[in-house]
Amino acid sequence: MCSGQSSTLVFNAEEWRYNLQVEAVYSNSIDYLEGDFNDEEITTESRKKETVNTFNYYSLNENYSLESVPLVEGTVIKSELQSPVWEIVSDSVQTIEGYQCFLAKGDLCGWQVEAWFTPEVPVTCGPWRLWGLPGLIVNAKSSDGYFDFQMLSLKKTDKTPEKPEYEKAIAKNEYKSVTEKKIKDLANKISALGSDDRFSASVKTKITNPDKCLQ
Amino acid sequence: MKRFALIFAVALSVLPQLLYPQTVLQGNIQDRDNNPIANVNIIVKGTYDDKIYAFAASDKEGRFSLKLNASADDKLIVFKRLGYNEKIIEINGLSFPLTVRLETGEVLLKEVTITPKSIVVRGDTTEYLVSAFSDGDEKVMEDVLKKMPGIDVSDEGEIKFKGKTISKILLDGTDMFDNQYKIASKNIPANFTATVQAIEHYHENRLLKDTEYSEDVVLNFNLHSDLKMQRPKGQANIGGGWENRYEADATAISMNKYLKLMDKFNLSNTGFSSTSSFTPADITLDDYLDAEAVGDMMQYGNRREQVKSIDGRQAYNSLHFGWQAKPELQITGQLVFNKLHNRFSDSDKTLYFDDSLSIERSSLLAAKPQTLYGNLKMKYDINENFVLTYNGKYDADSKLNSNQLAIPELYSYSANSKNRLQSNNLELTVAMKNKSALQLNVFYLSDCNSQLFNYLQTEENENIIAQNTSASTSRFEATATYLKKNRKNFYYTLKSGYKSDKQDFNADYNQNNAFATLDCSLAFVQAEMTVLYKKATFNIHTLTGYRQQVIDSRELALHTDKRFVFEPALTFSIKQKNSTIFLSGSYRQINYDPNDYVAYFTSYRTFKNPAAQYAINSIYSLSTTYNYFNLSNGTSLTAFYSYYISDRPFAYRTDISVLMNINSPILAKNTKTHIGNLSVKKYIDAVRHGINYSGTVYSASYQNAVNSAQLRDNDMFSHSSKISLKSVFDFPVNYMAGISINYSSVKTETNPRLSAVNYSLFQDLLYKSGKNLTVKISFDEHFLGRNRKMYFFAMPVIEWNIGKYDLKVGVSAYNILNNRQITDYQLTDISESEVGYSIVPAQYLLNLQFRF
Repeated sequence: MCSGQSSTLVFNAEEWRYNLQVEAVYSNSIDYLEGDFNDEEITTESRKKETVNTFNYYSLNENYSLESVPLVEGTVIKSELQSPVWEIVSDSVQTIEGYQCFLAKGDLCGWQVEAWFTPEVPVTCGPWRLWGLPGLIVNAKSSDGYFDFQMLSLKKTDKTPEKPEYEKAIAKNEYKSVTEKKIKDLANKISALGSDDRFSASVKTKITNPDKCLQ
Repeated sequence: MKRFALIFAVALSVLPQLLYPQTVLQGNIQDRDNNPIANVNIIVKGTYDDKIYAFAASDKEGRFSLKLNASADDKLIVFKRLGYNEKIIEINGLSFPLTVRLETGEVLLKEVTITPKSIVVRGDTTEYLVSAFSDGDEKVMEDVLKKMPGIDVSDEGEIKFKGKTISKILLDGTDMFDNQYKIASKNIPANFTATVQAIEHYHENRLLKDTEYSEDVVLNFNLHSDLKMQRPKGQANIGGGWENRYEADATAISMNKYLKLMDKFNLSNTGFSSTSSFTPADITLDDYLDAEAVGDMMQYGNRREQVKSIDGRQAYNSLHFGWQAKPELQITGQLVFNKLHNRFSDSDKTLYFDDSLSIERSSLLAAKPQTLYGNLKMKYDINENFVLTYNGKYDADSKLNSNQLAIPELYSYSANSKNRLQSNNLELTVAMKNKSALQLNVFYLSDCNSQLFNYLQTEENENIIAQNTSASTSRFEATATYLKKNRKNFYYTLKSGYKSDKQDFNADYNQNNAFATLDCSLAFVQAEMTVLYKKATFNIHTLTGYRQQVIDSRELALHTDKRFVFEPALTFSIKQKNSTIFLSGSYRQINYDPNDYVAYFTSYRTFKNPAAQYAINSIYSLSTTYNYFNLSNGTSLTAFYSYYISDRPFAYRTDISVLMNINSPILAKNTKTHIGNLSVKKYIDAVRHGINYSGTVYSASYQNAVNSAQLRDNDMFSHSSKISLKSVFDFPVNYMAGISINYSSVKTETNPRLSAVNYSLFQDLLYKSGKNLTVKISFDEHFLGRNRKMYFFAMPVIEWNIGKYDLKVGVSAYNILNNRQITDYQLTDISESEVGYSIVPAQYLLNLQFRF
């Protein structure tokens, strides 16, 4: 994933919402669409930057989660709650910024995850798709370096986790077809916008989705 | 035996369950009004330890259930939820199902703010936040890189990451500097860059990502986002002062969707220290044959920062670009122009041990080196499976030296040399099925060099030496490489090819003509295999082939040498979380060098005879590197040791006389060389406040001969250490203090061990008032020469920031005590000398630095 992103997690005991802002770059040169689509290659005629907001919303009481589908506005992936399987590493106590934390190892769609959580904040949430431990997850990373989350600040807020509004909910297994169609549409659109003599109008799209949960 | 082990293992795994029958802890949680409470975290932990034995959460009806696979003795069950008071109960004695009542209350949240991590490791990428390592005092990126744990910068500007030399510096992911990465590290302003990424296992060619195991390390400088705009942005500095001094330099960057450009410009006459930012040596390729027989006699002495020994002018410009001409075509390159006009004066008194001959001389040198260097690289992504790369280099240097010598009568010499090199490389990479690839490569290099050298007695205008040397190389190489990754952890490469080298070296001195030519061809197969096993990497690399060398010289008859070549190399490395151990060993043969077989003057009083016989030399080498790199406590350590044996090398017989020294190459026994290096950095806070140590040890045992054919054994030992301490307190005054020590000694069979020691102390005092005023005074005390005479240097700098445009006004002074000369003491295996060299006189400059 790209570096230096900022994200927030707003939580209470029943629900939480994780927001991540990523800068997406459509380019004709290096062809990266960073963020959730890290390795997607779009060969288009112009380079364009756009801010994409992604979210993960979880409700324990209603037993579902909603996850945004980048680029496809109004559509979310709705799933029943199922947390990663965690195992707490014994004798792994460490104090992080004054909080007593424990290390847990887990498996998220094949990613080997190491997460530090603190029972002193008695919730079960964490960043992105990571949750299900008896305390707030403050740091987490995958062994392959695909993600690395670090808590930068923790404070009380009047905000409540906002339940996202959406037009269409899809299941996880519909994600691939929906996104591929969208990327092709988008690439065509960008190429039409930026065509000049220097480039041919042909558009290639190649999708190699690194997101193991959505393959 | 096997059966016993099996039974024992089974017994062990059953044992805990036999001892501790599973206990199911269940119940429900209610509030004061008997309403169920959902989402309560329930943890079973030890009464006396910090272990978590089991955990669960309550459901909508407030129910919970968890299994405890341990004894219930000394265990607590903890109920905790936002909005309620925590409840802790000892498990022993409880009966289940259990009803727990929680009282409403607030969980106290300790609010925290954490500064972003200064170093983040993601897989093969280590990312450093530049602001965490800079205090505003750094001028160029090299100054910041020196502070980053895991990165080491040598005095010559060579950069290593975790003990491995980097191959490139990319600017925002684009390769704009090729292998001339020092231009980036020594010129890009420190405040341009947001993050530095060190990327291990880097692949330049995307098609080889899955088929080749790469040990390549590169750095990537990510610029601040405000520099990534269409219009050029940059930084400029202009200054002038007493006495007739000026300097102007600018760095500009422009990035749009097709083109990335960086230009560095410098015009100055403020003089150079021996660590000057750009030297033509940065761009010479090792490969070509040099005709520069006579050097320019600049004695730099030991490297001393902040002491300028060369007075002169510089005009420098380098342009670096990355152009995305079409979606599939990328062109990158650089064009460097550097013109210097140097003045340097020195004097020395040399005493030759073996016949107590003493030679005195002083000289005044004017040198005008000029370099034009260009590099062009085109990458054409034909389609998904084909990539075509072209890389061309062009380098033209010319140098004019004129020297007035007093020995004690007046002599003068001039040397005029010209070098020109061109190389072209064309490579086609084809990705094939099953993680394999084929690479076809054609390489051609040609260079021609010449030097004209005249040495005359000025008064009588008598030409004593007139020498004209010329050298040329032409090289052609064609190879085909097959690369394949087998299974998960096994890579192999098979390369076969043909290489041809033609080299000529000619020397005409005083109407004598001497020459040597070498025609060398090699047909080879090169196999490489890399196996990754857990944390270990094993690599074996062998070149097997057949080589024919035809060498001809005026003094010796035509000689043809045909032989099988076998050059193996092994490397082994183990990577732990915080450390890497690296071991390697190799054997290789050295080609004939035509230089060895030609007679010519190498200085006004040294003449080299040709070798009396043809000889092939080979080198065995062993080296090991240990690298420790702990990000959390800011400690890094690199230890490097290398051992070489040079088998049957040429040694030199030196015949010393009042008029001239004559060197003759003669075959010697083995030369053994040890090189060791230790570098330790420890940062106490904020990664900057800390201690830094680096030390180098060099030891060699070898042979030479003086005034006879009798070889004698010598050994040479040298050691240098530098330790510095730096503070970054919150109050206005901070310091940096350190010491460097150099020791060298020589022992020969005929003379006892002689040694030379010098040391230097250095201190920086830094005063910062608010955000705008910075005063820095640097003091250097050098203790040099045979009796370690003290030389004191003081250099104050005052800088004032004005306004939001990053405008800085500075006043600086150099060498305010106006030292004119430094005297060093130097030892070799045949002589000792006291060398005095001139220092650029006092300077006072007023500078204006601004961003645009």
